[in-house]
Amino acid sequence: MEEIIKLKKVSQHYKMGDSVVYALSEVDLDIYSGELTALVGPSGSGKSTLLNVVGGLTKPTMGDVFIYDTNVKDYSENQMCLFRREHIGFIFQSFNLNPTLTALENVTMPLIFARVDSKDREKMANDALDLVGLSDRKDHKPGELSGGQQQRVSVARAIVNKPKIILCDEPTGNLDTKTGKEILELIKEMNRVNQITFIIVTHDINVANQCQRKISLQDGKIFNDERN
Amino acid sequence: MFDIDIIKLAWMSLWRRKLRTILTMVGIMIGTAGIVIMISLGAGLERTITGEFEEMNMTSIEVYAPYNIMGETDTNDIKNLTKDDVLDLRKLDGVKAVTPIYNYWGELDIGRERISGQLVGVDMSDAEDLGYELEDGRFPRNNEIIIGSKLLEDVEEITGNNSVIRKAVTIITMSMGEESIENEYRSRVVGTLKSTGGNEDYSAVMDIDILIDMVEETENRSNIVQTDGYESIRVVAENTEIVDQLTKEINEIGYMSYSTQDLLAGIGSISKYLQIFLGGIGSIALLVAAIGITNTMIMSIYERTREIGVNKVIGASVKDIRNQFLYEASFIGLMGGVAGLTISYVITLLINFIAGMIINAQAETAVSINIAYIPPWLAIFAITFSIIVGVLAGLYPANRAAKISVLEALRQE
Ligand SMILES: Nc1ncnc2c1ncn2[C@@H]1O[C@H](COP(=O)(O)OP(=O)(O)OP(=O)(O)O)[C@@H](O)[C@H]1O
Ligand SMILES: [Mg+2]
Repeated sequence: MEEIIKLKKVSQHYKMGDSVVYALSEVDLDIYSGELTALVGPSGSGKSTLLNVVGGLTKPTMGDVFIYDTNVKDYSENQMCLFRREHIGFIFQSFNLNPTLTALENVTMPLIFARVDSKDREKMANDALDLVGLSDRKDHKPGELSGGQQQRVSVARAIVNKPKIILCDEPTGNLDTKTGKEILELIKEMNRVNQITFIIVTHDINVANQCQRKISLQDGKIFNDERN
Repeated sequence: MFDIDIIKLAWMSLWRRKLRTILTMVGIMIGTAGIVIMISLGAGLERTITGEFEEMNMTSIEVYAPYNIMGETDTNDIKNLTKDDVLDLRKLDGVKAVTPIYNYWGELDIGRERISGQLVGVDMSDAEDLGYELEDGRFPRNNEIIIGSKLLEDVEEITGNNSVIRKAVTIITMSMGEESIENEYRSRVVGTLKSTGGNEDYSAVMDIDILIDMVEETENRSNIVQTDGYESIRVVAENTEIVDQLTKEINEIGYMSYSTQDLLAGIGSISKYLQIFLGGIGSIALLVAAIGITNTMIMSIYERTREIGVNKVIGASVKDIRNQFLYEASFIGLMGGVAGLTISYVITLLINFIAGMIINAQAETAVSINIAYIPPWLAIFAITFSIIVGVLAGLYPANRAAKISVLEALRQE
């Protein structure tokens, strides 16, 4: 299997007054194409930071981030936006849907920014919503949907552009156990059927145990990396 | 250049906040309407006035006897304008023609109709040099008359006949003394005048000496030129360049004179200043409105920080975000401009309607008045300008929105 994400000695430092917080220190990591990886660790260990570095939402202080064979560390913010547009999807704990738009419109947004032809957009967005099992809630706004349904919308939004990588920051964190399980099943299905590479940050040990690989972070360092 | 998808997004997000969009737009609307109405007042004034003076002879100088403010003791010895004054003025350098002018009230019988009008006497032997142009027919001899353009319209309307030339008329002179006496003179219309923009348009024009003979006979007096003087003397300069110099010379002799040029220049500059002044007030209103746009957009960015962050995560480029906000601002400008222009049209119609009512009530005639006038360039300018104002007002907020850090935006609740 080929490596799709490669981190080389990635460090992320935050200056807080006189002291420096080492959110990540010299992390080396290879993620293979099609892997379903869980990222666990105590609060403040650097899980979100690692995810954001991979997704280009923040630039590492030091080190290189290769996605495919491109070192995105040298990308400008605008270049990163364009890169993300094509290759990376995001799913958040708090859904981050636009409350003024319907489910269908929310899912259409990435297609608009990617300048997908307006003829194809509606079909693609509808297909994505069908895939996550929300065929009958397309015209509902997030406020009219349950937490689980909202997270399904954001899964649909993440997959609509058919990215090869999806980064999830505690996707089940705001959901009850049963709904969380359903979302995880959905993620596993996307991973299996569409060969999408997932990195899932989670506090839920049940979620982590169902992933193929479990990476544990502590104080900004990888201290355990195991495959189930 | 035009990114239709981003334009749609901008439009949608304005639509989502209809009330705020409309309130912000109202500012631009008022500002634009202010500028447009104010400039239109100036433009209307200028158009009315220049229209009025267009036909006037730009080389003519109207000379009057000096108005004696100090009473009899004034050393100035010019009291009435007489034949001597005509001769004196004719001697000046650069003078092409001079005529005394005498006006008298009278009526004309044409066919079975009686039409009131003014009788104007000028030196007919010099008619062409004086700048009179015939629409039709020829210049009069003896007691024949020619008809001014506006009087001709009246005559045609009243008689229902549009060939007055070579028609016999009876001139009725009327003395305005204690007992009113009317005298009748048989005459003939031999021509019609092109518009001069002056008194002649409303008058029957004839030779001054013959008119004065008629008046002396009617009023049963003699030497009325010596006692009353001419109405005025018209001096026509050889060319427009020397008009100012000539006017000055004539005034230095002790006459009161002004040229059409003076009049036009004076009115023109008043109207220019008026336009600048009024337009300035409107511009200030628009500036305030622009600050309103900036303010609204910044507020909107605070509210939408999270949305902007999410959009960046799901694929919006820095440029997309900036353009969306610029489009939003220019839409507000465009809509405000269109709305402002629309009410401007309505208000100028109202202004002209009301002004027309007032003036027509006083003048007892039906004149169509254009006090305010929106020329096409002003309409185009107004729209363009309001869009530019929108874009400029949106620049700062748009850049600010584009710079929002994704992580900070997502951290916000
Ligand atoms: N913008 C920032 N400025 C300063 N320090 C930061 C910033 N972002 C993160 N940190 C610090 O970096 C460390 C790692 O943070 P991170 O958010 O990656 O932790 P986490 O593992 O995701 O924690 P949690 O499970 O609570 O979400 C923390 O100590 C945090 O305080
Ligand atoms: Mg975190």
